[in-house]
Amino acid sequence: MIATLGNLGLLSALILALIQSYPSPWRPRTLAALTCSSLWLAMLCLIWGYIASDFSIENVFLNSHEAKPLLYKITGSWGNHEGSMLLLNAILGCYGLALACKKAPYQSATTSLFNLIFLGFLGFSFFTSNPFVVLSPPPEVGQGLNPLLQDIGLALHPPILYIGYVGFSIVFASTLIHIYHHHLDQNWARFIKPWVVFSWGFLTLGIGLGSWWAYRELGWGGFWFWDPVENASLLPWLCATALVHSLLVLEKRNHLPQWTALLAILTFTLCLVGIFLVRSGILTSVHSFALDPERGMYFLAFLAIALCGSLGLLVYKSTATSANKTPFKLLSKEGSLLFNNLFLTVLCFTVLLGILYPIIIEVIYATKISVGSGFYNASFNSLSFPLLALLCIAPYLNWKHEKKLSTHLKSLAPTLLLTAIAFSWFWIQEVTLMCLLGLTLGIAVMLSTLTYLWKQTRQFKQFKTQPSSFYRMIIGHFGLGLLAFSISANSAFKQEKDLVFTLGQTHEIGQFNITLTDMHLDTGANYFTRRGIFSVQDRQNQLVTHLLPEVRYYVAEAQNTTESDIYYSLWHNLYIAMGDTEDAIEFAVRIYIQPFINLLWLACLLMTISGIWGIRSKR
Amino acid sequence: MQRIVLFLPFSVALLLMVMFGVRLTAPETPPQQQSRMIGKSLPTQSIEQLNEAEPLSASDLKGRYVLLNVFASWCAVCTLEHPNLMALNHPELSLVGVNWKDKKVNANGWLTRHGNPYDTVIWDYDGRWVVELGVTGAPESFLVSPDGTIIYHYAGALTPQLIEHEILSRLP
Repeated sequence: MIATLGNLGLLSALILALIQSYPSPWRPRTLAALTCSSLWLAMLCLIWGYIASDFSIENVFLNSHEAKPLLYKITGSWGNHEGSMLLLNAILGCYGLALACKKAPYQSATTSLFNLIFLGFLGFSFFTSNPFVVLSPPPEVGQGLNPLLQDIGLALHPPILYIGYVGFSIVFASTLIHIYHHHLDQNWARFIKPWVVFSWGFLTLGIGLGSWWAYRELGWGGFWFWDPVENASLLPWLCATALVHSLLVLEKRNHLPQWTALLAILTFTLCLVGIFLVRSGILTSVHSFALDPERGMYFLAFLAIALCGSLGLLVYKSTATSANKTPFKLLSKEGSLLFNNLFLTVLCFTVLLGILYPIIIEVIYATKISVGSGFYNASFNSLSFPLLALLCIAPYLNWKHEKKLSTHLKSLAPTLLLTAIAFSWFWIQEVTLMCLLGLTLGIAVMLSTLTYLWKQTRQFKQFKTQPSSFYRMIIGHFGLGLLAFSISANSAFKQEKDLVFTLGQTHEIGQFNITLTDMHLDTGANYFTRRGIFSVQDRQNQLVTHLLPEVRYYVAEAQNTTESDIYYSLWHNLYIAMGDTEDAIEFAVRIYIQPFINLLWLACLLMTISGIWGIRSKR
Repeated sequence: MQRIVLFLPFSVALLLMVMFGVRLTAPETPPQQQSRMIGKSLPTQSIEQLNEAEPLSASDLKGRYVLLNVFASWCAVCTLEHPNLMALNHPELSLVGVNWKDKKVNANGWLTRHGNPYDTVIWDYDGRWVVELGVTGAPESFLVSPDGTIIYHYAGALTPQLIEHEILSRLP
């Protein structure tokens, strides 16, 4: 019964989107609201199916189990391909409603193009990936959810990521309409900027959450593995960052309209490419949903039309633009933002090359290769360094032509001095060259951003004089510097030890003494667990905390997971993950000291805030 | 921008779409179960052994059937598989362990505690040898024919049924 209702909701949304694809001024808000609600109705039906453990719904049978905790029953609804596509469509519906409620230039054309895109996604869901397929007779027991997915980080990660991805569809639709009308100008830039920045903020948060989950759940102490699916989310992020900055130039100085349009197209289509790569079965990754090529072909067709169609339109309409005819000098804010565009685009295509290279080689040479972190570390990290260096000076530069470079360099003198001191200090610590550059450039960016803040608010006296976009820039750039710093610092200074503990034994690591005080068996809601109690003391033998890592066996899924336990202090994490034991006398334990890792999550949060806060302000 | 410059992303995009299409519709698209490594050879570069000084290369493994088993001391599921490997004894089959991303002391400790079923143990600390095999986790096993070609690949713990039906059945 719920399955039928859910399916009906999905179908009505499909029909409504079809109706709205035809440009007409008839009650756009009502139609958009109806589409949005029917999709959320469908989503709620699916979630209800999970809560009630209704195994007549094939999707629930394949991905859930009676014994699962309620939270993970709910979040498991989007922990699979069909459910997550439905969620994506529901969020698209919300954006459609938002678009209908705002005053947009070329409103009816943008709405109809948006709904065409919506139709593509809805068709994909309804025809190829319908979550409401029914099993008859209904099975007694569900197959359970991969225990790795039964975690709060992974529960939040898809919805937030989709809010990010899906927002760019509106940007895309608006861009195409404006290209068609030769209208890539300041009004257009002003209109799409809040949509871009909002989506970018959520994309940042979504990627950060995925990283945080990997860090906590996988037991490796790592947070980024250059896995194709992770890379697939990084691609639109890089493009969107470039887009935000390119929009600035277009809005303020009416330059770079073609760049901005190209970036807007690429950002959305890279979201589509990401979705395609992950779900078509063309790439194997620990992350990918295992699917059949037929769905892949549908999505490929959708992607091809969107990508080649939009780029073709851009080529066709490229000659006539209403851009500013007076050129700008390279040494100017426009110049630095142009370089920014170039760098970010090259970074983006480097990652894309890394993802696609195995596919290209397989098609041409029929051999299988893998591209690992070595490639990405060498290329991506190296390319990001000049970009970080540029970021130190770029906010200071004037529009059009910078004539007072020496004055700006003078105000940057304390930054340069402190950076040089930091550089020497880290060099003495004998960190690798890559870490050294990352550390010093991260510090340089943070310091130069603070100096800029100090300068613009006249030594912090006039906080209220600046528009909110100024503070968002400060927070965002500071966050980026912090990110570079914390990634490099963590990489340079982390310690990892594989140890064997017996009950009562103490080991020393870093500034801690760790003792295994207890090891016992226990049961959870849907798992058995072996839990260790480790008492952590500092060098003065004061108790710092107790850590309780576990090794869990999930019965329904017949799978083991490591649940690490982490002690969060400001400057570092102490991270314990347990390995196996044969005799229940000696226990293998892996301990990490992860310095500065919390700063990494803080950096992601700062960048998210810079995207989302103050979005409604006009300035 | 010049039209020519804008034409570049368009053509790259078109090429990419064609390539994806070819890849997806490839006639030998393997069914879900079969690994892409079937028919391929072992990696050619030599690799360190866990407890021997001389490195090993793929040619050293030719001349007999080899079951390559990727394991590690940190791999909990490997302990589930281990008794099945200890029980495996076939005159035509040589068991070669590939210790992956593991410190030597831990690997040796694990083998001492659980028993060592392997004739040879390869030590691949950074994973560069196993990456060529497309290994994404442990345990994974490869059955290699005497001429060095992979004839069976399984990602996961080997059960007695799998050993019976997929490995022993392929031996003479």
